[in-house]
Amino acid sequence: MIFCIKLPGGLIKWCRVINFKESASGENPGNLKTPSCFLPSSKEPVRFNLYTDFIPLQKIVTNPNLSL
Amino acid sequence: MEKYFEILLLGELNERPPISHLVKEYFENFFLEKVLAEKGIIVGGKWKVSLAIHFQEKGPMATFEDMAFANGARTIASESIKMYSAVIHYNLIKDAEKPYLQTIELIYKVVKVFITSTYKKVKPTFIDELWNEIDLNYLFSLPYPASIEEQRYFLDEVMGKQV
Repeated sequence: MIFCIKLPGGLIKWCRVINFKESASGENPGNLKTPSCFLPSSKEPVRFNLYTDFIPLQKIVTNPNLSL
Repeated sequence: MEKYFEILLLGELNERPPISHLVKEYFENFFLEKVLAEKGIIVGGKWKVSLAIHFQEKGPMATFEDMAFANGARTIASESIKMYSAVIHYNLIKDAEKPYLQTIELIYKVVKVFITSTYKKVKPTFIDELWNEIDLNYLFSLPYPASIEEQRYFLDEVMGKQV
């Protein structure tokens, strides 16, 4: 899975989520704790975690005051 | 006219709906005109907004049923861009009786939830009522399934079709 990220400097860069697919499908649950991604060229890694950084729609619907 | 709202579609070749890039452009213009400009949001302001929509196969370890939204935006101050992200389970489309219509409805739903959750002055009912103004005849006149070249998913060129 690819996430796009725009960094200061103008270029859109991309990163691949490490083992995201395996984690999501349950084929590699050992990586479940780190379905994050990073930009190797970035000094400060930009990390996503599907399970903590993303809000399920159901949660937003039940709590309309929740901001993305 | 400066583009204040942009939709980026992302997904691996076998895990994304094969829609034309014109679908994305239609929704960008639709929401810009009917919602954002109408409500005085984003348009003419300091920030431009990008909404990245990722299509992803569902797996048993996924904790959400249909779609999820990134918590917060990534801000690129030097370009005055705020980038938001959302994920849609591709299974909802793949397993649908009418996958193209399902895709159109899901993109509409994602943008609706994004706008109404981020900009509280826009109520969900307002966008629900706009659905009747969607030109389905135009959208269904576009090629489906579209060729990869016609799809123009974000990063296709960068990744050399390896996504």
